[in-house]
Amino acid sequence: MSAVAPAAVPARRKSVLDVDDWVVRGALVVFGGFFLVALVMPLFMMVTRSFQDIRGDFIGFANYILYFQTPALFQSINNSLFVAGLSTTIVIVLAYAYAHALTRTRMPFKGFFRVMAFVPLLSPSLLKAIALVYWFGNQGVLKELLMGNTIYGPIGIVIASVIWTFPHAFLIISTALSLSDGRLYEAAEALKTSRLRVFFTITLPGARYGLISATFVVFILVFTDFGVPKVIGGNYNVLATDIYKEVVGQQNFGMGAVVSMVLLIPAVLAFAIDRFVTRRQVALLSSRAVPYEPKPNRWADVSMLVYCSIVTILILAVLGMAQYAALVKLWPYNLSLTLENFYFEFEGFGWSNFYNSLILASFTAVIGTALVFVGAYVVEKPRGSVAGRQVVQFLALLPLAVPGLVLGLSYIFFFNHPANPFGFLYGTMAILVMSTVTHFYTVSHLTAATALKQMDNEFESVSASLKVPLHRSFFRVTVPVCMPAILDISIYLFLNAMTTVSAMIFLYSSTTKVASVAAIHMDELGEVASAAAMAMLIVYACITVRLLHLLATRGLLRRLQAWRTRDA
Amino acid sequence: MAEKNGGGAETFLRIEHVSKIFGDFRALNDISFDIHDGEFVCFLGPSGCGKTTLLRCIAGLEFQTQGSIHQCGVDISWLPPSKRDFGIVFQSYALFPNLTVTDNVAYGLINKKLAKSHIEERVAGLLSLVDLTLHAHKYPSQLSGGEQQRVALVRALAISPGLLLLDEPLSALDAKVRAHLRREIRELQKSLGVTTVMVTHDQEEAQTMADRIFVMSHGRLEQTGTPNQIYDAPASPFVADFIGVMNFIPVTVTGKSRVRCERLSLDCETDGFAVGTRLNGAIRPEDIVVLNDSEGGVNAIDAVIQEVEFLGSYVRLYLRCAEIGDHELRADVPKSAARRLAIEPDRRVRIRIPPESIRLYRDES
Repeated sequence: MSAVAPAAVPARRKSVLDVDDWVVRGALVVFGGFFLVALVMPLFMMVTRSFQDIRGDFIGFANYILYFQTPALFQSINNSLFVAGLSTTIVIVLAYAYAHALTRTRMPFKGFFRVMAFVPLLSPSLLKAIALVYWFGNQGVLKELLMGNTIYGPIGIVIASVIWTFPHAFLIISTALSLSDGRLYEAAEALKTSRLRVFFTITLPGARYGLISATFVVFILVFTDFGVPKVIGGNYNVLATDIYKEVVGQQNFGMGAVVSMVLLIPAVLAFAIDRFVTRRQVALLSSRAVPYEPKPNRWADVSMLVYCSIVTILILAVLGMAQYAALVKLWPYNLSLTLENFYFEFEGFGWSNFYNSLILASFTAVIGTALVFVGAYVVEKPRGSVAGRQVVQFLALLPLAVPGLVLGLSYIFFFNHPANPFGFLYGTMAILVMSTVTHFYTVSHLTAATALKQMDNEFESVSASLKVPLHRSFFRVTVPVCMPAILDISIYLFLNAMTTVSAMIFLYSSTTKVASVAAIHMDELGEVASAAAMAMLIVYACITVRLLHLLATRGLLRRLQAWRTRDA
Repeated sequence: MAEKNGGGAETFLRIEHVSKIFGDFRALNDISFDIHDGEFVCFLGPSGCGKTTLLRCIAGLEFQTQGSIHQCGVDISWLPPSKRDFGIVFQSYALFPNLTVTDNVAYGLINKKLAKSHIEERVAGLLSLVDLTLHAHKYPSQLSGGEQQRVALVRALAISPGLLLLDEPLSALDAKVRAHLRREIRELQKSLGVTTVMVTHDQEEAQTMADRIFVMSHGRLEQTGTPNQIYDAPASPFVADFIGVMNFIPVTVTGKSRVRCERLSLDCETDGFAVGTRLNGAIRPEDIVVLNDSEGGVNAIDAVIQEVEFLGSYVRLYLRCAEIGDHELRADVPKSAARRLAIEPDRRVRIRIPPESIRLYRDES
């Protein structure tokens, strides 16, 4: 080897790209394209449409002026803010106490109560509203408890909203509370700090970001929810029902777009503030933190057991009443039990709605999980293409800020546009899958990103040094190691696809109508028992899949246990 | 493979004017050097000195902002890692947790489309090389840190790379295992003759393992040389301070072979520095001789023992001398000598600083 390198410094040039670099670049382009079609362009079309009249001519801010000059429409903003604000306040307090009981006391049956907290996730939000109608409606069992007030309106919306958003608030707050450093409490105790002072100086600051995050999440969920106010709102108009009325009732797409903007802007703001606040949460918990171990405290443990039991009973009372409603022949006159409500024998309805839901949820889970995980991998792991990866990451976070109704309406504007080459998707199952994957993309992406971040960053470097292509390492190492997270993402997408209404309500066609939309429509027609039955089908499917998921996870973990345990 | 070591061999890796800039931060500043075929080189320096960045540039995991890198005479400056010829071991080992030891070691071989029997043979050979045959079917989490590190090492060596890169490979291990692995890695490297670059912040590790040490600081190459050269003739106060222990006293040149510190005049080689120049005088603690009371000679001075530290086989004295004011001197004395001289705090002793042990540096501050 006598060849010695030339002494001159070569001019700067671009690095040589290998196959992996091209694969990553290709993937980034594909993801950019996906978000362009599934999110950016539709939203752009909606914004444009809010400046157009019914015929599609540009009219500037005329729609907005008309909107803010119409008291009936304008009042909805107040109503939406009111029910969202009140529901959020109540649910944060309730969920905090519940999470406190599960993380900071020695209360018995914690596992059971944890499972119970998630029961509301298994049914669409409208089912809670239907159950409330049976409990407190005009012919409700406990109507007298309302002392002459009607459940149809803000009271019903708030109660139903509190129930269906409870699991979301609980999950975020309990995660924040469980991430506490026990040594802080030991130090406080050694310094003879009072319990109250410990709460205000250690517990609350530690859970601060969780509380803020939960507040924003719940507020947006209620603010943008359609199912609950549609079923139990009565004459009490909120923004979500206004959009529906403008678009479906009056075919006034321009005004629908304006209301969507009114709905979208607070959601985007809340999202931005939440991102800004939680970004400062880094390194709150050092890697050497010791988990907090609560000490027995008879009074606290018993009172929390009572509290959690009451919450659980309420949750089960709602689901139980829905189940009962689905089985009763003719409420409240003939209370004999029947399966007739499950026949759905009227025009345009049937078990096909339920099958559509299953198809939608399955495709969403399979395609969505694959898309989300590959997307998160491309964003998190490879070297190079920094700018492209940042763009895709931003796009992946964006869907969280877009309410389902707004997304659905945007899809109408974009895919129904005569000049759109993707127009063939309109009215198909594919567009339902696309909108659902997009709608629930962000949380799935964050789950995948968290799992990937926990993996050693040098796996890819080692693979490259061993001349093993990226995709091979991806399937041989990354996917198996992240399998628990992948299963979590798939169940998350499945459950949400089964229960969501918002985007579907604008995008279904006669052949692709899903169960949640069918339930809304049957309720609208006064067939409340059938609506309850249809919604219960969703619950059965969700429970079944949830159990399958549990089994799969257990089996998988047992199989993977080999490389997780320390002892040989 | 014949053993080929140290100077005189052919250039294997040539780094020319390499700089790396992150935003406003210069991580590497115009670095040039050659590494010979079969050599074991250590990049040594405190954290943030750029040693890991330099290693990652050699691997292609980062790209230098300027400069070129040649391996075996081929310009690899802009090649991605997959097109370069190296094996790498990280501090975290980066063993694939879901694959057995065997599968981890075979990871790079399977891609080479070799016969299955051939792969099995090679993996078995590699595992026996590092005494891991009995662990072949275990998963990484079932192994100790030292065992995991050995798996990472043979996984990197499995594809017979021309260049082995080690990124702080031993710093996650406890002292005993570390000392053992040092020798094991060194012996393996020698027997295979693979050119090796190791990054470390542990000077003892560098001194026991390397053919040559490259001391780095603030993105610059401070000094290159054999462990002995670096220790005995540090090129700068930084190197002198970083490698081993060093006393520093401010001195002024007062004549040919004569310097002064406060009120103390010392004989030493002044290397042509002009009279009146202010310099840093550096003396290794082990070079200071503690004398019997009666002894005298060149550079003999009186001192008081402030503190005594027992460090196993030797004793470190913290000394004060009235003539040099506030400057404390550290002197290392073998345990036997300490006993003989009845060393204890507050005792007055006579010490001698041999003129040849004083090294002078320009005052950099």
